[in-house]
Amino acid sequence: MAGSLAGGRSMAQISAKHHREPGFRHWRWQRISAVATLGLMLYFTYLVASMGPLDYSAAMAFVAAPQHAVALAILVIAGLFHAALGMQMIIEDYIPLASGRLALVTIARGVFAIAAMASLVSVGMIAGLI
Amino acid sequence: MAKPRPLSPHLQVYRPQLTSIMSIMHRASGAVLATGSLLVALWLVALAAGAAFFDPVADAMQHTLGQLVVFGYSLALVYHGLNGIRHLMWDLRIGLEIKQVYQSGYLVLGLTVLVTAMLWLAV
Repeated sequence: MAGSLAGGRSMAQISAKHHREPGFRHWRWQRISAVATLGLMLYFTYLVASMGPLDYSAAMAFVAAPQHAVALAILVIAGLFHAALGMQMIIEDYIPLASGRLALVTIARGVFAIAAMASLVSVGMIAGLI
Repeated sequence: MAKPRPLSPHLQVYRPQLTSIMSIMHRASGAVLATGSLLVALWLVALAAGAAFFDPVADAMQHTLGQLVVFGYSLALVYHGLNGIRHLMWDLRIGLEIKQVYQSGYLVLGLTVLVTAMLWLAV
């Protein structure tokens, strides 16, 4: 992940001129989803550390609270999207094209898309919206 | 068949340095988080499915092994988040001098330990 390129231009400036390139689209969305996730990072780490001792009714009451349901929905979308982009990067770096790289990327995308959809529906059900 | 094309990032040809170790740690923690996030999704689905599905999940998280997984996930989360800020700063061309890269590196490592410790002491 290079920051400054030749000529003193940043990656952000260059990506704007090549927005149709898939690589730059990936780069840009990786950062957009990173910033979205970062905004809720402290909240999420605290949640992760405190969700262990929660029993069923306590966990239901927590997730059903509107502010937590909304925060979790944003986290699930941005976080799992970021995860899919990151896993794609790892697969593309280490798995040769001939060894099923494209299939693996597609599978990874499918897994994270299903996880995001299932999580969203679950949060909606717990919050009483569905 | 011709010799296969080399794949980045050629880890084996470099002498380990703080920068390279932290870089691969960013990737490793990202992989841990991606996998762990599927478990968070499972937690949400089990919760929505009802107490009969959620109770075994809650029990597993109370288990020592489960607690270890949650702790590892939180450690990866704090590191990846803090080091992610470092990466975003570089994208904005901030802190790219070698000396600054090392300073921010040590800062991220220190803060990771501090924030994770505070988190678990506060809970």
